[in-house]
Amino acid sequence: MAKSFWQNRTRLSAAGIVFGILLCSTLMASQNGGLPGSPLRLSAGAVASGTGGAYSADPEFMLSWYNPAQLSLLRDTRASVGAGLRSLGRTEGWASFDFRVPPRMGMGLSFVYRGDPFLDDMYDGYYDQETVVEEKSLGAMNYSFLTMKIGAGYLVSKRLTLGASVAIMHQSLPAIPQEGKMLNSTSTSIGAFDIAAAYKINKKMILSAVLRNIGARNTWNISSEDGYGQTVEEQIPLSLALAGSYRGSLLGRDLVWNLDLVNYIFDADLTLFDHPEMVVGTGVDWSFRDDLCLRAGFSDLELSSELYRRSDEYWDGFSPRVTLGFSYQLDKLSEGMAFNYALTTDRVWAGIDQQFDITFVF
Amino acid sequence: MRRTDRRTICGLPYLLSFVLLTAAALCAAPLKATRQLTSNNIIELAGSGDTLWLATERGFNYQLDLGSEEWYGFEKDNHSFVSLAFGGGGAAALFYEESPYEKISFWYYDHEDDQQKESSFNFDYELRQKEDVISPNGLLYSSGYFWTACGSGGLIRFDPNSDEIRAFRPDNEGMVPEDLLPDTTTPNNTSVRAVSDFGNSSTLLVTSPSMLWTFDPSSSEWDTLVTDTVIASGDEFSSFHAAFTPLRGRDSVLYSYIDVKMQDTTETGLYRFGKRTSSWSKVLQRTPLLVSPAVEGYYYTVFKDNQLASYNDTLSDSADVDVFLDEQLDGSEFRNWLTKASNGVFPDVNDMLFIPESESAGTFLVATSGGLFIIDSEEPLSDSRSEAALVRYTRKITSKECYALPGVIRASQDGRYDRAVFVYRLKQDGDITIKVYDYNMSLVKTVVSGARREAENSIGRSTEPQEDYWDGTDGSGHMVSPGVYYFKITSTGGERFFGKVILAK
Repeated sequence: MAKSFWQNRTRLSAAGIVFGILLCSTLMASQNGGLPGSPLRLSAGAVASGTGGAYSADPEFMLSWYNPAQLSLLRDTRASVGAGLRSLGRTEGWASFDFRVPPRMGMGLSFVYRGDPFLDDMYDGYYDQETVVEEKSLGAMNYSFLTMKIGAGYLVSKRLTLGASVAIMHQSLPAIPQEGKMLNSTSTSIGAFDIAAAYKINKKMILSAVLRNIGARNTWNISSEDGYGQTVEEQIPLSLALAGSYRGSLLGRDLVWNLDLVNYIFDADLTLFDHPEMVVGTGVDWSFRDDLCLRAGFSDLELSSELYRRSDEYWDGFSPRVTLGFSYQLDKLSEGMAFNYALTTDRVWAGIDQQFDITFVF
Repeated sequence: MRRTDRRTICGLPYLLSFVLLTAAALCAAPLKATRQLTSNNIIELAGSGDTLWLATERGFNYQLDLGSEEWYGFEKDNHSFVSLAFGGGGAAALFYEESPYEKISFWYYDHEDDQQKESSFNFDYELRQKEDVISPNGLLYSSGYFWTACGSGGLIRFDPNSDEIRAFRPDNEGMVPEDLLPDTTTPNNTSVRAVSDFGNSSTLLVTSPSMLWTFDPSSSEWDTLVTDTVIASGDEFSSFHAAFTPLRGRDSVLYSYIDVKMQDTTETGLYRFGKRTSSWSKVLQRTPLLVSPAVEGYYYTVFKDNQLASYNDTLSDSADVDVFLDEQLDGSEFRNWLTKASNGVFPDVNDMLFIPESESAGTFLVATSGGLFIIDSEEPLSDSRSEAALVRYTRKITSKECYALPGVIRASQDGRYDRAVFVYRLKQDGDITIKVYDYNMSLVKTVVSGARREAENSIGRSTEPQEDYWDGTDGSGHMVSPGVYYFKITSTGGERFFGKVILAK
């Protein structure tokens, strides 16, 4: 009787916390495009993307990326490698390797590339009042954002695990056209931390909290025409992901429901944003057959006070992603291997985003 | 006529020698043809009759019907461009390669055959080490050949028919045999600084530091023209720079840029040679950077700070130099007139050309870093001027194209790179909305919301540059993070455009 009560209270508390943050955030929130580290907001991996990017509570792959605390719960070794092509030429690639370190630990490594190698229809020149001056093609250019994370998790108790990861980031951005070539500005960030905690309420439900980008600072080396560049430092804002995962069943088949509430409330100095942002992603993962799993969800649903303050603008900018995906087991080829595919809308209807990867469990 | 002060030749020992090695014709890749102006930065003009050639920052253009809207041309990055000339049914351009002291190349286009070709001329290795020795300067068409002045190399002649390139030096009284080069006995004063037409004759006027020469292309004979180095003002002569004669008539009149030693410095001035006094008198108190002969006695000049003026040399024999030239139009007024023609902004003047149409009138062209001014029926003798047409390059876009201009912006606050104007062309009039998104496709800013745009304005675009731009800020006015940003333009006519812009900080 007492155990049941405790369980109910936990669920009630978790729901209360989520509801409270949701309510507080919606009072002030708005969409904050253009903040440093925007490529980091996209979900990495076809499994994650298929379920609306809601992957922080109980990830199967790329644990050091999503939730290093869960590394300690690994019972096997997992790896993934994949690529994605998003609308307007945005591309990505990733790889991960997660393994158990008995008795209470797990470790993981993940690598994510994001960029735009199709910056090939751009021009130099300018408008002098109404007249076009010196318009010429800039030639092919390339933007890239590389991130590597190394994480570790520790099993504190039967229900509670903690984890942390450290990241290295590097960006290269075309900056100065000069004599037919393009000088790039680069930025490097070393030592950005994520810390995570996961709590297993029961066999069906896990709640997690992941605080990302602690101390993440991009140090930009800005190119200049005279060769004397400057160094500019910018901070990637913190994000707090509150996530839950619930395992149930549908039509006699396993069903997992995931939910991520990602909050952008503080900057790197823990100063409250003028307009904090809360983004919801959620999705389900249904085992349609033993070898086929179907996924669906939506992500990037902005919870914003503009919904009632300026509803026209809210709906004008309303742009969640709709996601679909599947996994197909390739055990015939190799035990534990699977092919994963995800298809998502891109928020601006310029095209669709596609991701695929191969995952291994051994 | 441009002052030849880009690379001074003086000072170097007598020397040198040189010679050329080979006049090897190269089968270089032809330049890519184009039907639009290659750049608004027009470096040099050449032409006669109805044919006009331009050398621009990024190639060459020509039109066979001067003043028409049809442009033809060839694309080339003209980093090593020296000069352009037109004549004999074709145009030639002179380049140096790798450095000015190793190899020069002639590119030639024949109008009749519609063929391009390129020939190169290598200098001796020892000569390449002496940078003041070989300095190609100017290009001139005369007697079926193209000529350039090339330091101690003398006159270099390019034959467009045979592709042959040969050298002629004053002290060799003719063509320098190829196997004679380098010749270390060459006196310093025969290093050549400039070449120009000598009046209406086919003779060339060649400038060397200590004297002026004539060269007869038909006989390859040199003759000393002016050796007098007396300066009427009593200042001490230093050296000739570049000499020229009027466009037509007045064969006896001769002008030259001359270096004159003052007390502590050496100054370059524009001087006229007076036969009666056999001395050089300063023509203008200020030294023009460019002088372009027009009709008899009239000249267009450009001074520092892009001040343009037209002057009439009355050939008055007064000792007062100010009387030699009657100022027809104040320089600043002329400049203001062109400024008005260019809608308020007048760029740097690079070259001028007067193409005569009659005894008193012609077409006057001003090449600038921001376009070409064409003034039809220009009469230097008259106080009035017809309206100037400004020719500028504007890329034609299709209704499918959309991009930001410039594609890379930064917080430079220079008025050029600190904002990106969205270039697009609607199929039909409509109200447009422009939004900017970051890599995650989160909205950064709504730049334009429901503004009316025409399908096509005067330059074939729908863009309203004073409104359709993004300055790198978000909706709160804060600069956003460096990165690639994406924009979306929608119109009530159902059209959608997407594009990219880079914010580089």
